[in-house]
Amino acid sequence: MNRKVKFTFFKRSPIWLFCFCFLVSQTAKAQQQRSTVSGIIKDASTGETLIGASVRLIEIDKAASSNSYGFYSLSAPNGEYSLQISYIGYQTLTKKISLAGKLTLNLELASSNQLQEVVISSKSSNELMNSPQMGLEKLNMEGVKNIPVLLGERDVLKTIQLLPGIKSAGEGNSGFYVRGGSSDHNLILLDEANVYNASHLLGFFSTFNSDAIKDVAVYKGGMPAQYGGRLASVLDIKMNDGNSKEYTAEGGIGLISSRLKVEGPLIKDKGSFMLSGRRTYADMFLKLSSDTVLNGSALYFYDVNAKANYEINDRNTMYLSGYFGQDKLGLNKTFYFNWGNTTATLRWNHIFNSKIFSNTSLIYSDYNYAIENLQSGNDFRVTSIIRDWNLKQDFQYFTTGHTLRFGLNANHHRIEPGKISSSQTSEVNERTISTRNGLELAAYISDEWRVSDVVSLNYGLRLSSFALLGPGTIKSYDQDGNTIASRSYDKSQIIKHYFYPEPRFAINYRLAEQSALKASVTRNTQNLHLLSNSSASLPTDLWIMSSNNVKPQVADQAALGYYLNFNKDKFEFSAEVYYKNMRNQIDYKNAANLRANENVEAELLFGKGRAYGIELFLKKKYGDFNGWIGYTLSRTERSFDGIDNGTYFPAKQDRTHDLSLVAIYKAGKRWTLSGTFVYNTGNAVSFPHGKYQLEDRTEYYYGERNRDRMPDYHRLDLGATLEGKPGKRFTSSWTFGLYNAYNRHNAYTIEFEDVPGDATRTQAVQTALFGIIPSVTWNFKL
Amino acid sequence: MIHYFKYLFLSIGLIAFSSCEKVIDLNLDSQDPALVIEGTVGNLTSDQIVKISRSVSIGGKNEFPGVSGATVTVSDDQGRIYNYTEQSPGVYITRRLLGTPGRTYFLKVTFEGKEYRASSAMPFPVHIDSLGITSTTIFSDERKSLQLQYQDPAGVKNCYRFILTVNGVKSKTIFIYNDDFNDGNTVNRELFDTDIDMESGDNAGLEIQCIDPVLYRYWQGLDQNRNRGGASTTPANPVSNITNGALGYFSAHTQQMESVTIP
Repeated sequence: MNRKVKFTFFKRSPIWLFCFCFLVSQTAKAQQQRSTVSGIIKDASTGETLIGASVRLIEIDKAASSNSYGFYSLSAPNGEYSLQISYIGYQTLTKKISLAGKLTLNLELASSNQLQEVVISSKSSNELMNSPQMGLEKLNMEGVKNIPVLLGERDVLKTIQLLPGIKSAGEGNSGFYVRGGSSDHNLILLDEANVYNASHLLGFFSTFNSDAIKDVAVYKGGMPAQYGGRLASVLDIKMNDGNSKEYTAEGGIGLISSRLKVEGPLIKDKGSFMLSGRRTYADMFLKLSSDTVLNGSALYFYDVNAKANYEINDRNTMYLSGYFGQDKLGLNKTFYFNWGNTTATLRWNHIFNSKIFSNTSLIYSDYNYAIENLQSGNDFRVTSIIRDWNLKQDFQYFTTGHTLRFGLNANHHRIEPGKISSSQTSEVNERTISTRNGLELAAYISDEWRVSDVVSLNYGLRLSSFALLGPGTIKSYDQDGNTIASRSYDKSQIIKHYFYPEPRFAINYRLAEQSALKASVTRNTQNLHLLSNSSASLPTDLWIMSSNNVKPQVADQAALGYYLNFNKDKFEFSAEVYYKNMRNQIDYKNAANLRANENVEAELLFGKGRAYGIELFLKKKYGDFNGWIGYTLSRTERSFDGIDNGTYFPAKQDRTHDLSLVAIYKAGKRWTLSGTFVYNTGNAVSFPHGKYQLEDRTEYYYGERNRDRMPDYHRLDLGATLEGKPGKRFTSSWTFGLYNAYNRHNAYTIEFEDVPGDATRTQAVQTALFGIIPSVTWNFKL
Repeated sequence: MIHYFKYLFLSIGLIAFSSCEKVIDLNLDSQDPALVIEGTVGNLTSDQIVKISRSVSIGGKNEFPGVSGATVTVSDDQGRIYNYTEQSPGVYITRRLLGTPGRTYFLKVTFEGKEYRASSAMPFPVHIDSLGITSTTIFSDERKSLQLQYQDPAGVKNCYRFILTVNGVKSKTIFIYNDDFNDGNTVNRELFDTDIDMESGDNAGLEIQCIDPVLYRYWQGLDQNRNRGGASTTPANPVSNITNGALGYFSAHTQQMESVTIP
């Protein structure tokens, strides 16, 4: 059956390729005596490459933007031009160029120290108006600094949750939901490496140390073909390359953590490094306790980001980057629980010529945890690992009117779900849950085509294939979860193979100088699935692969958007509507056992999902007073044969209304004040509507899934930053924060119980996690 | 292991944040009453009870009306049939059925023209070898709890349920275990109930049941609904082994009664 599908597809696919080649060759033929200007755009003071800087030939209004490595390429008929380079937070640079033959022009932009006063020409939002890309938001890391957060710990994951369409998984949870997706539907990349668990301290903080981050892009729809493997979104985070001009150090001391970053040239203007570390010390407070269990306990995390790059010559640059983070929880010599991610990325940028850019990446990613119980008699140690080896080859081909991207990707996954070891005297038996191996192969091609001044397209195709590989014993199950068949496979034997073509299409229609309409249709598939039947995300949540029992999850999304810049480009408004259809979604049987269960796939239910909504977004981009309002009206539903006879029910993250307000005000030369306000409809939950008695206990009787609501959630956070006196070599600043400023007790859980002292009645008790929490952080830079 | 998790959660909360509880009014509409059947077959006495009641709405009083006029029988895999008689409203008993380990029992309840059926296999008993008291200090608070030891039989799936009673008051904690991690070993279990403070001189009683794996799953489902600490699963009615939509369960299990005075 599968074989047939594959075959018919391959029969058809050469037509696609042919179309691409035809288009490209036709356009290439038509334009003779054209030349290309290309190069790398960097920050003048640090030598950091600038991602997404806008490059424009003023006379003919032709524009391009720099790619993830700062590379740009523009072709035009031979002649004299003014080349204008602009980037948010930088002084716009204009250069006279004479185009006759290939021109390599590496450029450096000087940062404009006063971000709010940047004067950007009316064409700066060219890209928004011309690019078919929709559903994309980029964070300005300088801006993130001013947004108040819990305990003053700057956090990109918390900040993106203030954007429309991206919803927080709740307090004390780093997870997020994008357009009705689950939290495992987000592809989280750190320098291209997949980060499997993006949270520290059971979700209170994210693994991303803002000091080390250069660029954050979130795609919540219209995913370009170079991304794949997850249904809902891509969070593409890139680390700083390191200052290639001079040595600098910066850091901060906060209530619960301290951080330090050093960077500098390895060889001036040729190579640089960046090393950034962070450690929390919540457990220092434990040390003060007189309780012997508590004061001997550990409760902290640390993480290290490191990166080095070396420019071999004009055409070749190598990058090596890595992340290492660990959380450690421990109860005095009895119990330890550690977990962490390790990623490493080795990249080679190669510029074939002014039109072809290549990047080759070898990526390693590892997430593991270990639980250790040292109590004699029942000591045990559980370890679990998920490990990726990923090889990627990406090409970008710039030609007149077209930017072609194509590439290949091979990603080998290995999941060791759990290995239990114990001592001779322990009552716990040693056991290993079977390891699973899988290989994801993907090939993609896409073309961003500037059809005319008003129409541009981005069309592409991603071919994604997944093979579950031996060795292993694979079982199949009946409805009740009983094993009905079992078969053993040898090493590298294909157990199950899936193949999906994923079309990606986006179109932009420019309505006027400063307004545009966009539409996109995309398909995404996912072969790694996170199992978590608990409302809190735990480090022990299990990743599984597609198999004979678990089919790949598939999402088809269609979106339509309207974009408008007004008031001299100071304001940006967008409205996007989307509809998403999801297949092979996962839920759990009642009382499912997901822990160290060899037959975990028998505990799953498979169903479908749908999500739709409208997102409104109004930004004031510049000025002493800036910020945004985001509002989402949406619905997210799931349906499973095993739950309420397959009727659609609201997913937990279905929140009808979701509003975020962000305001930043520069009050004078040194003070910046900020505030965020969030409001959302409470999560969909199941409350009991009846009760009954078993033995002497009151038990609760539940109706249909998720027909009730948690109380509405709202919260105001305030922040203030005091910058030190400028102009000195050593500068410092203070950041003050007030989380939950009006001390709203938002419901974290609601539990039902007999009224204490009156066992004849039932009461609902709400627990709030955080009241008002002040914070202060001192930051320095030298 | 699970309760260590909870302490860690708790310690994070206590140290850095101020968490707070309050009683709220949710105004939940009522649900049509459902039939609740709770039947057990034990191996200690020949008196066996099946209780039939109805659920009430969540806002109502905890008064659960017994259902009269049902026909209740239990049969076994040897073809013997035991007829139950209604002793008081909703309480049906037989005085002739002494459960035998290894035998499967079948419940049949007929009420208002509907038939409710269930079956349960009584496992072979595992005896508790010793019973003791341990004490743990958490946040300078010393708590005593009951610890018991048994030899799990190797090669078979064993499921256990313990019912703790302190000075005649039953613990509301559901203590269920299986041998997934310790098949065939000498096992120690600590019965930790945060709601009960045991003091010296108290009398702790313990009923040890070996239960059918189907019932283990039922209790597990019931227990997940009441998990505290924010890490709860979506609550739902546990999957009952009784047909036709009745709530409750039918369990054939072995029993052993022990008691100890807290030193």
